[in-house]
Amino acid sequence: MSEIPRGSGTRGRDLVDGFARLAERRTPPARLPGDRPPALALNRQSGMTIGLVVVLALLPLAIGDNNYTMRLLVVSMIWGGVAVAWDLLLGYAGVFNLGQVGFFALGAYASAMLSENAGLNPWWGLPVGAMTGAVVAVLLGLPSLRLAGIYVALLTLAFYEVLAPLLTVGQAIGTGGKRGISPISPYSIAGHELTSAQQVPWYYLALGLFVLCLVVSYFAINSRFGTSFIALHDSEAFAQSLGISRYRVSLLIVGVSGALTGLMGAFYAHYTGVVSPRILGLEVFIYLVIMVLLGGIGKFPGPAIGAFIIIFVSDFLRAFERWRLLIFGALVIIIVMVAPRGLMGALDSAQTWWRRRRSGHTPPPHRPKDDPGSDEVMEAS
Amino acid sequence: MREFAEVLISGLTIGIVYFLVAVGFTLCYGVGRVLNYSYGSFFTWGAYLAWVLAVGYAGLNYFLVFLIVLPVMFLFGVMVDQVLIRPLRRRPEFDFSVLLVTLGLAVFLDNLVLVIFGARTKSLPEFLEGSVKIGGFTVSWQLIAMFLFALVVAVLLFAFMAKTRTGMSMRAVAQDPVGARIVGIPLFRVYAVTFGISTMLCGAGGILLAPRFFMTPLGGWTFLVKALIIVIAGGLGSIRGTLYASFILGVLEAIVGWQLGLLWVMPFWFLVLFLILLVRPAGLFGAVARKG
Repeated sequence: MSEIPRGSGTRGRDLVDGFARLAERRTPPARLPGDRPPALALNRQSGMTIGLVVVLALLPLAIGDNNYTMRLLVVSMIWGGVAVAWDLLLGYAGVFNLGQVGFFALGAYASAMLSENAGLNPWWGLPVGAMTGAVVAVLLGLPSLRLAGIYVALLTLAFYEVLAPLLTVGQAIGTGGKRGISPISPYSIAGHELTSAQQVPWYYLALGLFVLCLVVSYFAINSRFGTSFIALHDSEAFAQSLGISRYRVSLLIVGVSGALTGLMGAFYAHYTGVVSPRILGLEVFIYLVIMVLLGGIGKFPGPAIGAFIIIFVSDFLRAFERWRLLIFGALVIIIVMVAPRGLMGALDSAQTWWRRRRSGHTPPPHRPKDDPGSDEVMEAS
Repeated sequence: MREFAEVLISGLTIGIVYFLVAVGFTLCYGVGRVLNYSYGSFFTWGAYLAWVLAVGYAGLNYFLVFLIVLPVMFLFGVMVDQVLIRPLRRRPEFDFSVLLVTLGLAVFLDNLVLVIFGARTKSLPEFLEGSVKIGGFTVSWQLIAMFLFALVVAVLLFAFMAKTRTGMSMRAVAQDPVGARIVGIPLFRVYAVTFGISTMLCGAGGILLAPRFFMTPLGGWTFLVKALIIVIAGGLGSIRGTLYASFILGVLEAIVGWQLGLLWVMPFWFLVLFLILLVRPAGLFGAVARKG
């Protein structure tokens, strides 16, 4: 191998190997560790993303005027964008942020308050919502990212849980208290206000934002930053010796993720016309969790696909209103126990199985050197 | 002034109950490295179980209720550990998997309560009616009973950790799992027992606090977050830190609730947590939270 492999697996060791080869000065590797990976190449990530977007762009031709399905698709795209942004943190940066819905809600509130209380054009809400999401995410990240991973989960969950009471008591600054803000004026294009009876403009607007989320996430993953995270995940000490600061790259990715989430929140506020502390309820949170899980954590663009599946399944289960969350809770447990990498992980396994069958020999099971394996003592640490 | 003293007493009582709830959480992490996000649901389940026994169906008195609920919660905790947590210990991303599994379990359990008991709030009657005057202050018997019960459980817990073989094994595992295993401590049994005890403490807290706060299927989340804040403020894994943080935050809750209303309690808690973390990033008595 003259090139540092970029496939799935433990890339840090390959990085170390690559560096060792560099030191030996035999065949210089084609790419140095830390170099920009070929982001514009056609691989599974970009292929699936393009396929998804093309299908979505053409779908209205097939569905036509079915407002209901269109609405489900718009909602799927909103949450798909958020799921992908969240997965940047969970699956790639290793930041266990549980406050993602908080960024979403704050983006929504910022945009809604701007158009309803300050009377500005709703379009301004999009950049402002994105900025709010980013600023809040970075402010939350500043103290918590200095701490170990689990502390991040605790702190962000506390932030998320404290937000609903804060928005309720924040009536004085215009959050509308318990009932929230409603109605929120929709966007208008060339003097025409968009209405909920015409879903097509909303649909393509949502598609545009969804594509933005996908593109930004894709380039965040397949860039120097994405490679930094992979290196940090596999061998933190080595990555740091190359000059990668986990704190700084984490903070940056948290900001990016917060911005995308806030942006989607702003759009959501004007699309549904209402925003209230109810969005911070358990239901939305668990939906988002299961979207990311089902699609596959750290398997771009799996979480976006998970969002579509979950929104449509949830709609299908409408008749079982009371049982829906019960089912989803159980589903979360089952996925984690049985298929922790979700659908995209299953695709991975299927691919390996197919390759093995075709080539007719069995490669040795891939296991990192420091994996304790079945040694029970090490399991505790 | 007298009102203030009464608020203080109520704050201290709440503080000790919070200690019971939070110490279970911190124990679970300190010994088994498990951050249990379904802790709030265990709290809810403890309270609903007590409701079934005391009000809904059987009409038992509180003594019997505790006698039944606590062992049931213990067994439930052991079962959860064996079925859900133990298989995950083989995974490299143990922390994250546990987080997701316990979140899923929380949603499952909460909605099970919702399906079985409906969304209407329920309430447990007070243990004891009436109040007593001590040196000019009026203190309800309920508060005294709560305080005494929580105190007894807390003392028993400390004695258990200090004197019994199981308690000592738990502390050994908390310090060094590999070392503990080398001297022959059955690691997985200790994990299971710890999880059981933690669940039991949480259930006890649920019963004690149910007469004061109304019970709803999703009410446990507030207590999960309260336990989280207490535990972070005190230093994750530190029992002593949890003790101090519970009292500080319990008294703060009583004072804020008295002056500004209960809605402000959580924002103030968060503020205090933030201030503590600003000065001591690992919490009051935390050892290692910072990474290198």
